[in-house]
Amino acid sequence: MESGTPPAALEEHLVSCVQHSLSLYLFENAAFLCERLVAQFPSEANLFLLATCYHRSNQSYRAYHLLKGLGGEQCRYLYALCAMQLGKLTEAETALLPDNDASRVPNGGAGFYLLGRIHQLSNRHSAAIAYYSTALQLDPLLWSAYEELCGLGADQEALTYLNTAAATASSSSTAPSSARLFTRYGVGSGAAGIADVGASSPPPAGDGQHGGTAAAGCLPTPATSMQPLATPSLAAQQQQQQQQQRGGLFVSPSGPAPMSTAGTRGGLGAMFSWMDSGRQRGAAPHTAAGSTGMRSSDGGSSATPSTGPSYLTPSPGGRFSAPPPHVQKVGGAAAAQQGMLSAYPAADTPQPLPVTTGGSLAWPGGGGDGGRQQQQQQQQQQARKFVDEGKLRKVSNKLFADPASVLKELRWGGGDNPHGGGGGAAACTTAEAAGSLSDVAAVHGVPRGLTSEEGQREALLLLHALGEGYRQLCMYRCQEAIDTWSRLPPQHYQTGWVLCCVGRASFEMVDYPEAAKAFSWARQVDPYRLKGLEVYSTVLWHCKREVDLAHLAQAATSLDRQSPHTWCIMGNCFSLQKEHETALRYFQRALQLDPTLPYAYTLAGHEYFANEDFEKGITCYRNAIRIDTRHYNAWFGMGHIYYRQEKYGMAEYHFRRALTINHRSSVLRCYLGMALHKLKRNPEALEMLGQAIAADPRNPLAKFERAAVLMAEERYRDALAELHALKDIAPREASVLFHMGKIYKKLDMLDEAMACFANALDLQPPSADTNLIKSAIDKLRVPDEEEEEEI
Amino acid sequence: MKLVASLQPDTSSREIGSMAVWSVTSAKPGNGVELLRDGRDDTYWQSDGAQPHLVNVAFQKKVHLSEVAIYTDFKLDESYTPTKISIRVGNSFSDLREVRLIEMSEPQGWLVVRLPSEEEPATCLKGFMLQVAVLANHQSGRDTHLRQVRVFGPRCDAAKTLGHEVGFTSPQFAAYSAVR
Repeated sequence: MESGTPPAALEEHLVSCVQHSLSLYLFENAAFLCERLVAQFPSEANLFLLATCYHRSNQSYRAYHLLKGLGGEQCRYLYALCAMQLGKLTEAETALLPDNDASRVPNGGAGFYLLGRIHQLSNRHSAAIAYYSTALQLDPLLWSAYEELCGLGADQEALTYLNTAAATASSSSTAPSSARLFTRYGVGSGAAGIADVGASSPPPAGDGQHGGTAAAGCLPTPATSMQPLATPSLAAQQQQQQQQQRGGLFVSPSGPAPMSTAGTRGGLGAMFSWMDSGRQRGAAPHTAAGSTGMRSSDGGSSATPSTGPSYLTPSPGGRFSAPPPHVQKVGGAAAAQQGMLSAYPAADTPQPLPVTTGGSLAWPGGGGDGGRQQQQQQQQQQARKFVDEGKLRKVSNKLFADPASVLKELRWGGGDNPHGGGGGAAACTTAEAAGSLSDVAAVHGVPRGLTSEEGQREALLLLHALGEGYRQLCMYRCQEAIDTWSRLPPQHYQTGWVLCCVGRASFEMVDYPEAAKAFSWARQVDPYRLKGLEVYSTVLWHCKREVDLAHLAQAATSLDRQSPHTWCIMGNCFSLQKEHETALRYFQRALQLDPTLPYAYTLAGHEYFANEDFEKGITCYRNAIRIDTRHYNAWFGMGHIYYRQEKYGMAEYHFRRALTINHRSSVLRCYLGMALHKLKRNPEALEMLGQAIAADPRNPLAKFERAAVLMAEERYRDALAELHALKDIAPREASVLFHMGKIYKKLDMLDEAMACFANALDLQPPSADTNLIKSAIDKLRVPDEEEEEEI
Repeated sequence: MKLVASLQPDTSSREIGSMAVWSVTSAKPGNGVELLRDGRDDTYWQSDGAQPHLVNVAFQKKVHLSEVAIYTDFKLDESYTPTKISIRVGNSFSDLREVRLIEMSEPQGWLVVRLPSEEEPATCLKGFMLQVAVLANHQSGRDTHLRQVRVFGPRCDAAKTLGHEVGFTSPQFAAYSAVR
């Protein structure tokens, strides 16, 4: 595209209008205008913009087909996102990791998070864990990655992240240390494991970020593909530098220590060094943009190295990136770099820019959403482009004129997102720029926010508390989780998410009244939240509170009929009414809405079990486990079915598996004990039941089963003792009295036996049992013979 | 036996007709046996042969049978409405014995027939096959319309499945009896 001629003006104007529409959520309008844009100026950047419009209006398939084959970073990222939504995981993976080259993962933390999701959905759990850890290193505020990490049972990695976060949060804010902090996410805090141990001692001058070489070794396990990056990245950096020096405008990452500027390295060290450098550069202006203070150095013109030393863009995570450039200066001051700096700030000013809306969110503090990162970055770039008077370059020029330097500048300009490969290429850049084109104006009327070291620390502190509790919940250490969360400040505690988690923790501890309280509080605080309420419906199911459950179901359906959680709640409601077929229909509906919800499969399995349809039940449980291996309810369900089918060996195996996941569950231990008893391994059974009772003294079934085992072993006195204790807990239980009566009869204490039977009858059990008891009374004077088994 | 306008959901029993193979001795094209099980009151099965007309419900395993419910409507069917129905239970075609003989007069709605055994009224019948035989119709009609037939069996108590004779009733036991 040549500048200066009407067509170029048209293109830019259209781009601006599209951006504007997007920021105002007028997606149809944006799509239409963008289609005109693409018709006249077909370029990768514009195609990307069009794909974004489609994606926003829920037409991911169109975006998917549009972006097929495009190689630009942001294109690949959006393509992968759409492919995942359409269920095409292999293609998404190839897009994110072309040639298995981990250096080319777009958007850093978010890209790795997507990779983690892909691997998790395709059952490659160890790889998924590694990817999530990487994502967290790059972007510590990527909460979704942390959640999935805990859900996969990666306790160690979660702990590592938490320690890192804690250390970061508590570190001081001197520039060097902060540099250290930010660059080495894993290392700075000395967190073990993934952190780039190699890249230790960051020189206070800020070179610390560098640690590149050593870092190569620190890559997490599946990192074999990542290892080789060390070299290319260095090479890339140098190449970049040179180019930048040539390019002039955006100077290469800190002149003096090219490596150091590349500083922002996450724990993965060298691999991301070049990314960091890019990020760094970008971030600097970015933050500069954010903070007016930054402006000081900016002149909007080239190379005014006013801002002193080069700053380091914090490596970890694109989002979190740029602490105010002033503060985080690392590595030598490169005049060039500052030039870059100055260039950016001007560019980044949102205000003058009509398109980048006056107040867009620069860095949402929280959890990563690649789209948003991309958004911001594009914002930045967009801003830069339009406001960058000093350079006097038109967007189109920058995009399509190819001095690699310019392209790279553009790329880095996006700031917080680590961009794709250094050598990455024109395609990358254009895509990048294109990326910058779309979604520039994130949100109207909302302040952009300002990432800062201080803010990062505070955010990490907050997330630390939440994360610690969540990790413990996922490991089923429920009491600790509740304690951790109770230490949260009240304004955070009284939010839907926390209260639902507390409710769930109570539920796992079989403390249904407490769980119900927590959930109803959650509903008061956040009445429109549906996620997590299916657990509430199960709690109500256990408590047999039909009215409340029906009310909840009504509320849920009126809120959102498209949510799988709603249908799980409805299913539970009908299940409580014993209408199992209807309940099954609703659970299947939930599964249609979200085939990756393991709990819906488990509930469907329970319904099949209630209908005695064991084959289908087992299939449902297997599906649940296929999706989430740590779903202990499904393991229990399978064990239960096998127990019912009298396949006690299989039952024992499945109960044991469930116990490895949730080792504190008293119910699971009780069932395991029962299975052992049926397998005639009574001593083990007794021990297991003893453990079950110890785990939760309120569990009456465990005591009852223990008494049954003792009876089978003819230790009548002990059994009697257990039953007496049980009678205190559950005084209105006819079966307890019935069994006591039988024991008395065995012990030849017929009067007591009679008394027990009479009491049992007084309690008015269901009619079938009454007959049994009556016949037992009749046979009281008659020695026991074996009762016929009912078939 | 009682005649009700609509079936109330009963928590102590569940419909087991879906576990069985249904067959009839004859059917008019367009009014086949599937209309007996479609859950709709406005469609019916019409027989097309000699009396008695038989509806056979064959299970793959021995089941407990507690009730049979038959929906008929004299106002709509007039002479097609059965007046004498015999319910037979057994293990195979050759092994059926009659357990109930019902006489109806202008029925409209669900006819719910309990199937207790004579010796112990509280227990249920067990069998592999159930047969509903229409022996006579109103106004001496030859063919019959049956609009719906449902077969019920008792629900199994969760505690019984654990192998105990007497079930659990208290909520404490219920809370700990399973992981959901």
